[in-house]
Amino acid sequence: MNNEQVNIDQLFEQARSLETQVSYDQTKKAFLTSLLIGAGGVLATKGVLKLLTTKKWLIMMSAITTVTTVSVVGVMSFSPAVEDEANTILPNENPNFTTKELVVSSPEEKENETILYVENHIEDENELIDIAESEDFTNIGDFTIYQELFNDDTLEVDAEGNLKNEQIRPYSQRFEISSKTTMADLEQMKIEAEKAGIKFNYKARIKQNKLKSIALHTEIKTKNNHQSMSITSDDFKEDDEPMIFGWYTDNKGKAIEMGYGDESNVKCSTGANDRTGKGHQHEHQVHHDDYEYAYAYNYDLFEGCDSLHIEISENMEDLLENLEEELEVLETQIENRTETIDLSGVRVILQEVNEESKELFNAIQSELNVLFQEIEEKGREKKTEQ
Amino acid sequence: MSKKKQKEFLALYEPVHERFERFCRARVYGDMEYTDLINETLLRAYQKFETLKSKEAFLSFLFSISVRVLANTKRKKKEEYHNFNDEAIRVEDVNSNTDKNAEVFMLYKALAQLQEDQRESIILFEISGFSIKEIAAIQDTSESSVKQRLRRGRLKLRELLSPKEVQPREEVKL
Repeated sequence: MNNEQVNIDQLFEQARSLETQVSYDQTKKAFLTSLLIGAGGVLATKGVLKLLTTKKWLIMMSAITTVTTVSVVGVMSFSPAVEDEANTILPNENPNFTTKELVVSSPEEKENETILYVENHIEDENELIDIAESEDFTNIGDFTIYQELFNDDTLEVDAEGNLKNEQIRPYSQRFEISSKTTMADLEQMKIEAEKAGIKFNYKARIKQNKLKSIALHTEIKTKNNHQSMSITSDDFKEDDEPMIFGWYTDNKGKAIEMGYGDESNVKCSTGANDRTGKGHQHEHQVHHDDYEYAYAYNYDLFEGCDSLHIEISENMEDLLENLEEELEVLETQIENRTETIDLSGVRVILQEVNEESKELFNAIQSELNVLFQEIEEKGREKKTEQ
Repeated sequence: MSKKKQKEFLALYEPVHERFERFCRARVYGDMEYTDLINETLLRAYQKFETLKSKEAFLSFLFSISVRVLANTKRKKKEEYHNFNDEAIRVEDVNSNTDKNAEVFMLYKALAQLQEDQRESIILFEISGFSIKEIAAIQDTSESSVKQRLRRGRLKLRELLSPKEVQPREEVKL
């Protein structure tokens, strides 16, 4: 080797013997932290609703149920007209009295949405067994989660339990571009884009029915809004995650902003909603003296929230199971008591009370009449004396 | 969360951590944070862990995933690619007493100038210590392609790391 040339082998040797900058423990810690999202928990789909119950909630529900039962019985007694109807309402049949705390509103349907290829990015479905509800949440702002779940102050929620931060708007239209995208798909994309007022030009290279590369130029041009975006991507491979292109629309269905990227990285034509990094993973842990729980959710920056994972500690699970059993016992007791009340007896008593009240009222009124007469007579006597 | 799976996964990872960390550090220079690559690779490897047929294959399993993660990241970020300043990578004095880290840093910079495939093959071969056959499996290509990448990559590296020859000034005739 020429002396003037760098000894490459020596440099490689140095690189091989270089000390690590990140230790195994640091890596392990970072990995385990990130893993929470994919860990799942002990909760089954319906179990989440029950196990998230808190003691306070149970007591409150029991109290409401009891008060309502008594009220219903009272109303039945005073209102014979609704007697039959009222008799059919039992606490556990009333839709207002379920033990559900976690309500996830169903996503709004997106009109005319075209998704060319939808792939499940999570490759191990077994890891998702414990996902609470839907994989189709489109707007994280639509979550209505029981307030107490978020009392740990790690997440800002408004009075109605909606998330205040990280509001993610789903794209009105979104398209996935991958090696499977065909010319027909691109034409469809162009049609949809032009409907929304987007000038859409593309050049694609397709080899053996596989998209190899693409160049897109898109433009929104109105009186007050002029944006354009050029996107090029090449070397598509079958296993690659798709590139996503989408846009927001106004109430009239006209595009107001465009964006492209993937679930963790979005670039927008205005730059206002650019998001990068691992924003699709959120996790929160709540620690109490006698129990702890953690919850985490994923969201796709193009689609909004897509899953919710909740995990609770074993002691909390035991605690909640005990509380759940207590609630069942209480409900049974209430049901039994409701069944054993003799409604005809109550009605007889109330009729008696009514009759006695009427008699009392009449007696008071007659005494008042006598008093008025006496006062009038005394008044007359005074006048005659004067 | 499967504690057993985690424990098993980390037990396989611990002995290869240093090797993997060096690979990531050399490989991502100028593209992304190497810690992000490590973490992302571990997460994906953990998700796919059940597909691993033998524990002996864990190392190449891990490297294959990191190669795929990098390829995806590279494709997405192509528009943001910045050219390195050629001047900045020239080594003017190879006999100077620069410390080891600085020299390796120069090597990383030079490696970043190579074509992706060449760069990856060289790092896997020279720094991570994989055989040509193993690299072919990781990169999903033939052994002859790997050999060619190594040869061309080394030539290019030598060119990049060699001091630029100073051209003698032409005499100015007055």
